[in-house]
Amino acid sequence: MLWPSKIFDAEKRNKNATEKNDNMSAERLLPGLKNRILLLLTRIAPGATTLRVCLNRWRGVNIGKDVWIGYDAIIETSCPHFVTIRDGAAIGMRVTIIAHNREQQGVMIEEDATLGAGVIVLPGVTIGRGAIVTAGSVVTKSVPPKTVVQGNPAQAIATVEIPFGREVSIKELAKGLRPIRKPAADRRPASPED
Amino acid sequence: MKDVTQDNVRDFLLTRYSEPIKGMRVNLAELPDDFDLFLAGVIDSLGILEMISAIEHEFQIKLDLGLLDAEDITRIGPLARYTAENAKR
Repeated sequence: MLWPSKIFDAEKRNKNATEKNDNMSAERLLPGLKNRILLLLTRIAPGATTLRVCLNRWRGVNIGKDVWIGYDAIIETSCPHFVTIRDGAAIGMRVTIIAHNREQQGVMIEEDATLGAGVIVLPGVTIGRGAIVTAGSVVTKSVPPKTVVQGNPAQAIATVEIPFGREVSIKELAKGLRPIRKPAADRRPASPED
Repeated sequence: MKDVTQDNVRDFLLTRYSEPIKGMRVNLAELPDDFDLFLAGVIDSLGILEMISAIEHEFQIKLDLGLLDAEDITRIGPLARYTAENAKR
């Protein structure tokens, strides 16, 4: 256990480091504690369009209008202000958004983009307007607007005509999907010799 | 190259999805015309995309779904009928 003086020393060091690194890596103790408590609350609170959104705004996440945030989503731990979620975007259950590492910072989820359950988004990524990330995908690079990506690392598999708004049925969405054709060599299943 | 008839498209879909349909203990021969592959859990949302691509590939056609009612996109009968009437080679 740390003595209080040690804690405050650590906080002072963190503050200096924070200033040096332009709010990049270090996290001050008391704001950090407040942030983590709010993060825990956002993960379990009800209200995908109300309370969860509000709590994440209090943490510092930049969130637009009509955003939907699923249960247990982790929107960046120590630097929530690096994340921007624009109007109409949907963040699925257990999505993890990591918005900073040593060199990169920031994640942008643009208007009407949809992240399926369990998606992981890595730092520096922009998910384009109306794009869809399928459940369980790992997004390592930016996704163009109106594109469906899938897998680890997430690859573009289709284009989408209409954004997957909450009033749009899956069948209506599917009707507007067009597959992105890959070269024949890319579609060849991997053989054990590969 | 297969003819794009309603029966051929229906047979193709039943063959492609025979295992999951049989898994539901449904007799393929008695499958109703409005059997919905999506609502029955045979395919998921991305499965719809794969199914349309598979039809296009199998029959070497281009399918414009613009005039198809969205509700019918996963119903075997209406989809087979629409494909037979609107396929372009």
